[in-house]
Amino acid sequence: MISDPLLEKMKTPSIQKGQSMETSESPARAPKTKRRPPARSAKILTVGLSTTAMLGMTTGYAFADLAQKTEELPVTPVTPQAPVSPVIAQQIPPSQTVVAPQAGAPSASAKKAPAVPATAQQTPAAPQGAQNAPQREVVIDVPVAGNGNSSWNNQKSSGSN
Amino acid sequence: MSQQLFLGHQATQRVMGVTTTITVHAPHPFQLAERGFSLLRQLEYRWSRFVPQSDISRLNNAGGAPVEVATETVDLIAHMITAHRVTDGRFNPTLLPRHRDSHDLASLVDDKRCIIPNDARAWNSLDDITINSSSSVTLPPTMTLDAGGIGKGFAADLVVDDLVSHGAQSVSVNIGGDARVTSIAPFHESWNFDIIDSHIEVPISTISLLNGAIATSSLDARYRHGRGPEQHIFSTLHESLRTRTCSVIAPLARWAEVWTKCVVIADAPMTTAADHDLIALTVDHNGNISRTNSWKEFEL
Repeated sequence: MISDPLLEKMKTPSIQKGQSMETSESPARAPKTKRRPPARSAKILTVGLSTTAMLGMTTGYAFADLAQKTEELPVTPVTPQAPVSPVIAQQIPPSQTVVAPQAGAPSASAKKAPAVPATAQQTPAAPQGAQNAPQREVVIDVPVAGNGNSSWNNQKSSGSN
Repeated sequence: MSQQLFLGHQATQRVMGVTTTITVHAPHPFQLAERGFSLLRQLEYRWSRFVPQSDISRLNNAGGAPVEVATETVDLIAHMITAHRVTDGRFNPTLLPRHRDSHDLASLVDDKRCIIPNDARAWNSLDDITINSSSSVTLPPTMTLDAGGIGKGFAADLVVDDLVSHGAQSVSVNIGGDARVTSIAPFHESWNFDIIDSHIEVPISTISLLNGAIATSSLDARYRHGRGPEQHIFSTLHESLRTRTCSVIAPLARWAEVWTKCVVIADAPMTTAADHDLIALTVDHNGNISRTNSWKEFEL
């Protein structure tokens, strides 16, 4: 049995209403707040409650009050203060990707060939003999059609890897 | 209607002790993918508890003295503090002493070991952490921090944002199953994820994301090839955990990872998920799978 004196003074999770998060140790405890649509509330939760961390994610992050202790950090409100890309269920037909394999680089292929022939445009290659030839930029126009994600888009989330 | 697409590239490397895959569509995808891996290695060097010179290791062994650290480390610790408060302590990054007591201080991928002071103990509050500046942090004596439960998600967010700022049209960063994906309009690239439970052969769910993140926590994530503990997620609230695997979808990977830990240690995981409006899926020790209604909206 692990003995940690600090742990013996465990604070009881509080039930907070309004803008704060509501937590409950037991389903029998206090009533829940009105439930928002899950996707939106997840966005609000993540944006609002990670404000402190979000501030640090932008370049030029500066702690205005350098000697600020952690207990002075504001309790992050639920109100969203920064735009966050929403999590959107896939309902739109994904575009098809055609990859031109390059020498020496692993190639990847689209799961399905495009239904309509693609038109490839290539930027001019660097002059011969240039020591540091710029990589060619390949731009491919592919019509958006049907289903068929690239196999790249199928991934795993397992929690152990 | 046609879209102009840039060349894509996918690469997989071993980073942060797990298989990491970066997929990027950009004018120069190969360079950006390499940039992404380089950033991840830098963050690993900053945050790994198995690297003695890392910011986290130096903080853990500073005995209460201020330590100069990278700005990203300060941001990570700030997020830990926020996560701890928001989850009422369920997310607790100070539990390395429990790993020590369980003889789980060895790396699973090499011969490195996590070194913490003998008097280090778990804490139930992060209020005594002092962020001195954008490059300096002080931990109270006997407190240690473990970035293992949050670092991968945080790193995925950082790398995605960086690659987008360098011209990526679509990015996926998947660090051992903790992933963040994004597509920039008009590019629409949806990403499918098979949720895997180590005890079930087939994927237990497949979801699709356009923008967002997913994280999965498993109790036996640190038990690999006969090494490591059978259960590595500890809690200051309970000793027995009902949930074997939990996946959470969120806009940011740093939060998806936090919430998976909270649901895993909850007495009533689905109730906890519902209370916090999480998009979650759990598997208990009997293999029973539960989903929130919101999870079903993302399922294929």
